[in-house]
Amino acid sequence: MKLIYTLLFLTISLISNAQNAYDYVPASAQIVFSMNLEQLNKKSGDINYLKYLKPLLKSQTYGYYNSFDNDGYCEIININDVMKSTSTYGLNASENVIMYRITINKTSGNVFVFTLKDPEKFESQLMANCENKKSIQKRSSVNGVFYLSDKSSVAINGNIAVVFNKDYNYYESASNVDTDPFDSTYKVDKRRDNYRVDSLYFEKLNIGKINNYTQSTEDALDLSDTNIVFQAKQRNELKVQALLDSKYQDLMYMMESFVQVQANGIYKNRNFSKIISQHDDVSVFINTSGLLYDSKFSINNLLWGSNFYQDQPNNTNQNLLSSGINAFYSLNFLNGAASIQFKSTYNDKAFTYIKSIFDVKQNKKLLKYIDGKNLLGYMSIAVNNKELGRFYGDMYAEILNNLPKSTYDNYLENIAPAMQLVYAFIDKEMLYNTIDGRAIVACTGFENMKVKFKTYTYDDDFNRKEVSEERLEQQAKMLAVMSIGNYDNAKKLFDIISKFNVFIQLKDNVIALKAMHDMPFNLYMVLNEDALIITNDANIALNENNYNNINEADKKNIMTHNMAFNIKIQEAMNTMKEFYPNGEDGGMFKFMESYGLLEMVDTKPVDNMYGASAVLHLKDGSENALYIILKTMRAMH
Amino acid sequence: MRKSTFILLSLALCSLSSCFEAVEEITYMTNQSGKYTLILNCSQSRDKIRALMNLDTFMGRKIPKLYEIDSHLSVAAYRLKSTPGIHNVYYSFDEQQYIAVVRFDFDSTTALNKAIHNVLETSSDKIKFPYIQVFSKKNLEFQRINTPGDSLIQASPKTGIGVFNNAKVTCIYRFKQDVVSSSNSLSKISQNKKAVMVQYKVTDLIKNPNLFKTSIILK
Repeated sequence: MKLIYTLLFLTISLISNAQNAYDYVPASAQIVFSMNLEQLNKKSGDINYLKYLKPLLKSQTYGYYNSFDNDGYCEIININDVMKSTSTYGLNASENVIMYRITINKTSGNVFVFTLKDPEKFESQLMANCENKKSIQKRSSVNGVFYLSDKSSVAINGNIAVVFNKDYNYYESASNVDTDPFDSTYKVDKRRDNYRVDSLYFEKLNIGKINNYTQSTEDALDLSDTNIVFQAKQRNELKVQALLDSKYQDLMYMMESFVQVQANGIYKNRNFSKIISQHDDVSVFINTSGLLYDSKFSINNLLWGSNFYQDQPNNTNQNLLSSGINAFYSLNFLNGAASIQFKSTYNDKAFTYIKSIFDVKQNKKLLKYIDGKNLLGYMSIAVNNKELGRFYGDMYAEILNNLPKSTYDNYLENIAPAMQLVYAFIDKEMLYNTIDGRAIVACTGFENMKVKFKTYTYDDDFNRKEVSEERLEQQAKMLAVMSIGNYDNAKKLFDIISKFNVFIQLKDNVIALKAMHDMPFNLYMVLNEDALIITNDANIALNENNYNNINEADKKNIMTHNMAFNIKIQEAMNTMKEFYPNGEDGGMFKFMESYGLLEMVDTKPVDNMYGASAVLHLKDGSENALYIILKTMRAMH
Repeated sequence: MRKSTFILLSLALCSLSSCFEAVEEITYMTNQSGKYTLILNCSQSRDKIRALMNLDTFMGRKIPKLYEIDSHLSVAAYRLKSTPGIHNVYYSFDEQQYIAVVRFDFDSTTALNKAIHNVLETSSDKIKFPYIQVFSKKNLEFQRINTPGDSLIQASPKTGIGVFNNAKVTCIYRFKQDVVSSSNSLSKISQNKKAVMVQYKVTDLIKNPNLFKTSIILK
């Protein structure tokens, strides 16, 4: 019995101590990106998928002029190489590689967390591509081994390695240590020495030993004490070293904190713990509210395109609609399908809005306008417009009210009342209830369209003549059908729009915008009792249609979800194949034919979360979706 | 925009649009001097091009803007004007139909060859086009010896050329004298015997740039 308890205790201890790379991610991380290299390497076959992730995996973050220091090129580690040759770098590829973005005070950058199988092997690969090893400081402490440099730093602690690629910041850059070697001590010493030299000179002058004045003044300079400059330079070098040491010490503290299990880790973020999954091929967690008020992605940047207000204190008000909003995306590649999950979390206050926005069903009457027999794709959306408007109105008002107060631009404070003033004049009933937020956009096949073009004919003597010819082109039959909330409102607006001279009135409830240069098709607008239809399909516009022939699966998706999206790739490709030349080698369309269906539906908002899942189905279930997607991308480039 | 990428981008635009028509006309007014006209007509694909022009890149290729095309044409025209023996340079770009026209008079076939070389040089600062004699005109023989873009055609990938299936090139050579014969099996002699026309499919030219070679014997 004792043995069982001991084993149980050991197991529990092991589980509780089992750490993964996420344990090293601080709660303040703004974006956390995770990849399972073992799975991705296996699923991508012989295609290098990393080349499509170059912007993410580059070893040097933005802002640096180039990779060369004055004394030569030095790269501690190349992230792309690590990902590519996991065994060369002693990586434990079965564990996720984590990349997160962080801002601490004025320092920001990307941090990569690797789990190692062989830390010595990893360390032996550092600085393999480095001509100027002097620019790297190697330090050790109880918390591990550290390789520090201005651009990129590496820390190894046990089986965890952390790489920090720092963003360029002029004031934080070690290469911009600016000191004046001719300090006050130098000035005092030099003045004293000048008096000494002058005294010696005048002594010689007074005793009549000087005949050649020009030569003698030059000789007098040789009497200066050269040690003064030497000492000044030496003092300056020490000063520079001290400044560098202090900068590197800050970096060292930062690296020491990165390579330790975080006491205030990302797991402390309740939303993260709730939505993260360890077993995804790729996942991304976005701390949206953090991004909104912090760092390079701040609202100030969005508004002014600069970090002008970067020194303003961060907004710590956690009772905002936008606080606690996090988004999570996960991507998994299976045989025959690729799936994307999206989840987003909201705080209690925001979630009441979210629930009311989606507390509405699609309008069944809209389905009759869609030709289900020829349906190639659709996007259905059902939201409560009024609630949606209320949510965004309140959220933006909050954001504007919480903008940093600045002494420079006091007009910032006028934005919120100005918006309120405009909003007060708006007829909300007209705004939110004319089109009530329920709509379906559908593609119901292709039809031939005559297109005129210029070409040349030649007579018997080969004299060229420009002529206009027509050719048939296929055009997608598109339809947007929107549910009407208040017909009287809609009719009023429709009648006003009809008066514009670009429209032609075809029927009492049908107007058309004739094809023109930038729009090579007629566009019809139809107002019915239950729906407003915008389409390029004359049949739908001019005839009374009552299709009601959408298949049960699609009907269910449309009627039971607030958002549903579906593209029948296979059917669409079959139609488009004749239109787009494939060529002898098949081109991109050969690969597109591997896909079957792309569908996306949302999930009901529950437990402060709202999300969606999308699946890309392949025609052939035996091949991995990642391999097929990469093959298509290769064909496209 | 870097000049180095211009020619590739313009080709990319054409390739993405798939249907285009190029016309090259040389009309000899005397034994050596004459008129040269080059037309690139993408009118058939104008809707696709218009849609593409709204994008910055498509399938990994940068899409040139209209002002970039216009600016390149003006640079090319300037180089033409500064070529000795070239006069009356005219160029136009129809932004509605996507038809580009370049036309000029030449004093001699040598001046024509130099003009073509100069224009090619403006199209790229990466690809070095060695000076080659494209046309030769001796008393009673006219030859198209080389293709100026040979190296470019040879460097272009041979896979994926299916997109050019509907693209064609027409070359018309007109002379004062009567034409006796043409070596190119694709060529036709006009009813008045004063002109030769050769029409190619772009896909065939990519596979075999030698198809351009033509020797015409005059009376």
